[in-house]
Amino acid sequence: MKNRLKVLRAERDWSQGDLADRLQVSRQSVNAIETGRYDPSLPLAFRIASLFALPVEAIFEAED
Amino acid sequence: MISLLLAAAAQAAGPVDTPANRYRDCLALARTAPARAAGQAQAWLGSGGGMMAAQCLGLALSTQEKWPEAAAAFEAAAKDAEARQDRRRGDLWVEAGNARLAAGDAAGARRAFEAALASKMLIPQLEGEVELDLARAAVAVNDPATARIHVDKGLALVPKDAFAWYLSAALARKQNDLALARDHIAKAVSLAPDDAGILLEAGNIAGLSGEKEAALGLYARAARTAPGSEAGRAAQAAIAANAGTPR
Repeated sequence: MKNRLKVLRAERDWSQGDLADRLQVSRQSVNAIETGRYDPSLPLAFRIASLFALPVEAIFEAED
Repeated sequence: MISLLLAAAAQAAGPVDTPANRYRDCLALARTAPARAAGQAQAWLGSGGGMMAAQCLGLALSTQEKWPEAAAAFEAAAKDAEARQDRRRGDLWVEAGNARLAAGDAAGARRAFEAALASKMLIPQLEGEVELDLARAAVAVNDPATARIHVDKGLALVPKDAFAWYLSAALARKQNDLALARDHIAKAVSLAPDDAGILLEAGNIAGLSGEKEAALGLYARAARTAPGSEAGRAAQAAIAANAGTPR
């Protein structure tokens, strides 16, 4: 699943650790999501969407 | 009067095209149209845009999962940051290393992570995370001894990171050190009790330790926590594989 997490984080000048703290997950989890190794659970996807005040589909994009 | 005219002219010209504004606009475009953003960033880089242009290019390419190209862009940004002694050089090397790992280039990742550590610009927490990244790079080239060195350094720097304990436990399991694997996966589970990947690994370690009931319980928790995830599906498969076998 492609996502725009890295860009959204950069727009706020947050490190992966900053984002991890805000989401209450590990920095490696953020890293894994950003590099496509791990698709977040639905509750985590909604937490991410809520943090950035965007709909889930504006952040995560299902691949063909 | 003249100053009023100058002010009016400046207002008519619109916002000033500073590198910071251009970077912000590039990121906004990368969020909505990453391919166009990459094209604009490439042109900006070609006209001397330096670190900010290269960073935006890396981000736009990452959004498209073009990892080798994204890694090269982050490396260019990191090198420019080094030349300018910019404080962001360490972070940019980390971005480059993770893009290299995503591209399957473990050797390139290792070079980038070592450059990040050498920059001396990382806070201790990020230094610990980079040690874990280096461990992942070592695992990718099947070098468990080097991975263990980096995991141990990571554990010392980020002991509250569940992933560090998980990585250590998985490594210990692969090296047939079940006592260490059990100890470290228990710490990972206590830090992240709802992480399906960690629960799956805990189930695997319990199973190998002959604790079938515990393994099935952990697999069930993993499957319940994230049923649609890769770890959740693997846990369901493990439960199915164990169905009907003696406990």
